[in-house]
Amino acid sequence: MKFFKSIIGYFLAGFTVTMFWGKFTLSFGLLGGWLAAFFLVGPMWYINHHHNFVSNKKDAVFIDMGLAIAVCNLTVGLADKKLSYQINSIYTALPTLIFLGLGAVCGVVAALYAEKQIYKLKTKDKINE
Amino acid sequence: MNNISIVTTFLGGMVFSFLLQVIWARLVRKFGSFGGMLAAMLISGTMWILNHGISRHLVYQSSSVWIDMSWAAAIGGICFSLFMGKSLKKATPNLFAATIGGILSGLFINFLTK
Repeated sequence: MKFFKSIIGYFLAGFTVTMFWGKFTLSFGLLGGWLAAFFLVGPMWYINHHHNFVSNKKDAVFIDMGLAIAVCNLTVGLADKKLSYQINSIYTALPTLIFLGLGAVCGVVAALYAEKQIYKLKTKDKINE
Repeated sequence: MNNISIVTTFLGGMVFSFLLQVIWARLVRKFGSFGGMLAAMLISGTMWILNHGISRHLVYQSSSVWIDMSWAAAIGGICFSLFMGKSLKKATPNLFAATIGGILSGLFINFLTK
């Protein structure tokens, strides 16, 4: 079923990025960030989104594999811990999450505005030709 | 979380999701799948260095549990298509699949590194 195929795709993305990113940065420092992005995020993007292994539908909201990576990082920090620790650390993590999320929303609002302006300029050029 | 950290966390998320939406698809259109690899390195790599890598990283971690910049990618990706009118209802299977896949991979990594 497509649902289980999606789970596998998201599982793979979360696993490879979370497990191996640290190895790159440990060996190569900041350069490891670029290398890890190229060798981990790149192939995962190719499988999951370019060939749509996670089966995002065209008329549905786009669920990025970044969600799986984010949840994986969260789970790694919370698994095997006491419930009180888990609840407390999620509560104290809310400020970071909220401001990061607000930034993301404003970023895409800016991107939508930019795309609209680019589209207007392109159609203006086409009419003038 | 002091005020400077609030602003840098916000800006780190904003710049990252802005670049993701504006640059990635264009690189794929121009260079195909290698464009995607290039976009991964240029956008995710550079933003990781700014958000997490440098000692004065932009994304401030207010808790002991790690809040990755991929949250910004995920929320940005969802909101971008949502604001363009795509259906959230049709995306619920993938939403569940991403959450479940993330939890399972986290538990698996925990199991491997014990």
